[in-house]
Amino acid sequence: MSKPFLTYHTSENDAISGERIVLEARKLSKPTAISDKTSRHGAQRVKADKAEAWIERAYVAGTRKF
Amino acid sequence: MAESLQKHVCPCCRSSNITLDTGSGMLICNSCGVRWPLAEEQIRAGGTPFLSSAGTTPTTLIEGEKTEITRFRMFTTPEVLTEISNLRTEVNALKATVSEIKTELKGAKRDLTEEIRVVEVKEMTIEEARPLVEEFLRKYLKENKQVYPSDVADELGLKYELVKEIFDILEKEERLKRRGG
Repeated sequence: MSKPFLTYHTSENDAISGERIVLEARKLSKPTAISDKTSRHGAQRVKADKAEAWIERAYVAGTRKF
Repeated sequence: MAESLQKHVCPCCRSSNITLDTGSGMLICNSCGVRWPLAEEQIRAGGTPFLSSAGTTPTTLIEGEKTEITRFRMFTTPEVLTEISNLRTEVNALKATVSEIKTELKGAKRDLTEEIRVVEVKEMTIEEARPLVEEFLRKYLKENKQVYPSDVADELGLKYELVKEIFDILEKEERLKRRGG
């Protein structure tokens, strides 16, 4: 599953954060809604077994056309 | 002062364990506690509808809904009471069924939205895949301002690594650029 363009961090508590994270896993749980009294916006959490995830950046059209 | 009566039947629970309170002239069911005036017995025998002397509703030992039911019972026959009781049971059963269906529907909707889309990944070289990716991007960027490699990989059924590699090439050729980068 390893991808050559990725830098792997495999220690506990290593984290990634980004506007879009792609997650590949053998098994994904159903999303669980998480919220508390102080959080304004709800969030969801999934658990992934045997997984890898990476941050993805968006691309826009360049100066040259296709 | 109270005396026990065998010939009367409770309109609520059909018990014949009835006591007459001679002081108030009320019949009292010893099983469920419902009280009703002795004159009510005339209605069941085919008499005119009875309203208690002061125009008030009879009292019950149980408050709330029971009082409401008892008030209604004052003007009905045992057959109607049985019918009402049956309808009430039916309505409760239907309510339970509707609630069950609602829960099932909610679950089904959730399952539908979470259904896994299976993408069969095609084995391709960069040379084979690049025209497909370019064609896709040409159309996609007309309708969208930005594109993620994962969108392309999923839509075209290509390996993510392959699409990323093509994106890198297109970025070098200045056909694509990282947003904000």
